[in-house]
Amino acid sequence: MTNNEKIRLLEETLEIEEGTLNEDTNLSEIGEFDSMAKLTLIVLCDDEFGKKLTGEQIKSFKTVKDILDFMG
Amino acid sequence: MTNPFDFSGHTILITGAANGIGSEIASMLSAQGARLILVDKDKAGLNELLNNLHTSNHSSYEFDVAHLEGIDSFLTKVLKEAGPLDGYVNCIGIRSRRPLNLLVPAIVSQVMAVNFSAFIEFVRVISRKGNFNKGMSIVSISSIAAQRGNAVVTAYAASKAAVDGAVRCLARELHSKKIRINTVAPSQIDTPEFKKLQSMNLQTDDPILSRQYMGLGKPYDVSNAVLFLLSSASGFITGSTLPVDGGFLTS
Repeated sequence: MTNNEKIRLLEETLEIEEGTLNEDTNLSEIGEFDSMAKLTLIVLCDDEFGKKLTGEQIKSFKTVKDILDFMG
Repeated sequence: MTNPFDFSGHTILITGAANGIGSEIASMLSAQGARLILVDKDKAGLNELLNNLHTSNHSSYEFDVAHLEGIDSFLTKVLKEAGPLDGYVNCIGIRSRRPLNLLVPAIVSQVMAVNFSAFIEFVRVISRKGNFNKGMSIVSISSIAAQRGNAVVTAYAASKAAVDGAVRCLARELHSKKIRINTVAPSQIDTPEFKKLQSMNLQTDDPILSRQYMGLGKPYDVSNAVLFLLSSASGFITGSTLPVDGGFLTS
């Protein structure tokens, strides 16, 4: 999956308007990135990418790119 | 009067024996003299449990109950080796946590299959003539989630509510065979799975612990209730759901 496809997937899954996110977007600026979104991200990373994401790791993410890099 | 909590001479099947609550139940029953048949898909967990139990007359079988079609032949083989059962405790449950938008049909089916359908199939097989002794008691670990709503646990809560509802019917139907069947409904219990959840530090639902005004439950709290329901001390109790919830349902 390309980074663009991953970003679209993130927007779709987190119900963020298409085109809002890019690699440099700061997670702290995304209103929708609440605790429900974090759980969604954990489930998504497991379902789509087979990666087990922890709460600690999420805390260390600063930008969308950090999420994309984790997805692999 | 004999001690109803003396399980010597009793053969008891425990599914999900390797997890936090299952292994506590196994330890307690073993200490009370029961001969255990331990089933789990976690082979390493089963071996560790066997090492920790008091006596050596227990047997273990690795099996994934998600294989619904294989349960009949698996159990038939096990019971041929072990003999008829005096008790069956089901501790298996996928603790599914998923927001609705990711709760797709395949996941709902999977949770219902493991948490509900597998249990029904186990009961169907072990209640066949010859597979049980008179007075057999069946206990399934349910959850207060079956009675109280919360976000992200829809499939889990529904599967536990399904078990509670089925047990009310099975109690009636199995009475003619003198089999009792009940569930235990714990609220949050201090297990390794809970510690993992806490470490995620995500507050997506009602602060559970504030509603459990007696604090976090321990596995032995659940196990004590299970032993009561397995024993003749609960001889007049069937089709019920026993909360072990630190007051959660009253708060």
